[in-house]
Amino acid sequence: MILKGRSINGGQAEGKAIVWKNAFSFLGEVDPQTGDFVEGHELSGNSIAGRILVFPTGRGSTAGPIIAWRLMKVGKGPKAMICQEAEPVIALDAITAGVPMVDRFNEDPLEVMKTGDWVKVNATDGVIEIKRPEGLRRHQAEKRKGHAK
Amino acid sequence: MQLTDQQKRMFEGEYGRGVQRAMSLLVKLGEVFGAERMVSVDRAHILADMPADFMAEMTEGLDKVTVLTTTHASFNPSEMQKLGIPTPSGNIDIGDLLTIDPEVYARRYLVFKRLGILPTFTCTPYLIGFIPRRGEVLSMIGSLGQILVNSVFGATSNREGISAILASAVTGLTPQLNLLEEEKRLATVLVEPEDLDFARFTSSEYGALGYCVGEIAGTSNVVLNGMPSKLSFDQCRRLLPPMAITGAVAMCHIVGVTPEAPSPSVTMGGIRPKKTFKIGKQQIGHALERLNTAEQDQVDLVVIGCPHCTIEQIQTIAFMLAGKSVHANVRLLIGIAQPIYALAKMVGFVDTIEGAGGLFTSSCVSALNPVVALDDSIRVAVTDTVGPAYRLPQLSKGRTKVFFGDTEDCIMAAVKGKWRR
Repeated sequence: MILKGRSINGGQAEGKAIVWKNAFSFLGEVDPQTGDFVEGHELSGNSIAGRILVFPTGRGSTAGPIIAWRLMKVGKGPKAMICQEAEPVIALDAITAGVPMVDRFNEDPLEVMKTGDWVKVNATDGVIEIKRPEGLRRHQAEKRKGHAK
Repeated sequence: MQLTDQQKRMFEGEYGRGVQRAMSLLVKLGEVFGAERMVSVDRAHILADMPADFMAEMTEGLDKVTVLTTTHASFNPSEMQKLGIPTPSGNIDIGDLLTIDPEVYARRYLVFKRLGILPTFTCTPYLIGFIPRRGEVLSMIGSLGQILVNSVFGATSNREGISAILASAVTGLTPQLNLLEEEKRLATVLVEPEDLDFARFTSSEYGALGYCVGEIAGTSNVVLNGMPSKLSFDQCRRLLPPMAITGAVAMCHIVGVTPEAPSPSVTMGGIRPKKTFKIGKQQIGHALERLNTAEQDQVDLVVIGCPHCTIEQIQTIAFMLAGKSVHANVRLLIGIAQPIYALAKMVGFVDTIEGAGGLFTSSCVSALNPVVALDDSIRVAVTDTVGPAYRLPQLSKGRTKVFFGDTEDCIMAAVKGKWRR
């Protein structure tokens, strides 16, 4: 599946998606040394390091750009950032840290993307390609069946 | 984005790599959000705790910053040592962003000096001579200061990320976005007080009013109509910053006070507000109840000066503490900018307050003071501003509860060791 959006910061990336359903801030949600979601976070046990981070929009701290920059410097940043609508601070996070980022898609990325999806990002042209691994697809189909019962 | 010839040369690297890096960051930001041009910045106020390698990257090849640049409140290690906080200490560390390592701090100081950045270490540059004039453009950190710059001084400061602020200090430019666009300064939310007795309104009630407005407005620009037309600067300082705490308000037009707010209709561009709210005694009372989370009367800590104190506040404290002493079980911390401390020292207030057992934490951020985060014995803190009242319970993960009142109430509590009832 291919989605088209607006380029916030150019670049190419490919990797597994981690989807967070709420507004994201680099300050407070992830460990600034490891990229792991902090203790108590709903996604605790997961990490943004090396992942394609998918979320609705940014929120909170104006210190975000430096934390994103530090994470990239130590190789623990996200490979790319995908969101519904960027606000200036979250956009600056990507620009400052050099993370490829795209927003404003023709379809809602939070509707179509799941954690574990394989995503190919061409942030320069604002195009992403989503491939759902077979295992994840089967798992989800079974889960849906389970719900139906 | 339309760049001038000189701006293009900055972008292309003719002025060195630091300028190029800063310029490319600002151009990208401007292009993403549709800015048509760059505007000149009159002054910058940067985060003091910038990682050294990031500073180096953004200032490579730069002799001096382009505009007068000051630094925000920080965690002065010598003050931390005074408070018994071990330095270096990793406990409040966000990567290497907030450090109280004396060596790191000293190195940053040298970098500031070399680049012509004034290490003011205060969240209130407007109290120490950096007074924004109407129409000026400031690129600054600190949402509590920003709302004052926009709403009281009639200058402009956008809420922006700290890397863009440093880029503005380096280039003297910022993309024309948000509050720099005339129509985006307009208010969309109208708030009117009802049944509030402003003749007897206390400073904590002004804080509570701001708390309510912030909750209502969220990220919108607000117009506050029906306030006394002669608000003192201290009253403005109580009223406005809480709107950036419970909400993310950067522009609140106070009719008759804000330079560009002669009437409600002007502030809304002649358009009807999207939302209208009344705030009365009941809402103020409810806000005060929520800010006062403590139950037991016994006080452990009194935090004054977030944002940093005015000299008037220090005078009030000195007069109240003359001939008295701070209760043995209480720690009184006063956050202040170094030049105000020097003035207070000159006129004898420091001797009085320190003689009574009060402690100044000059140049430091008061609400995030690690004393509070690290000291398990602090159960009840008392403060006269909404910032610490709101944040200390969060910072201590609920361990510390708060009483919120006027400066006078707080000092009384410091002396008696108990909160008034």
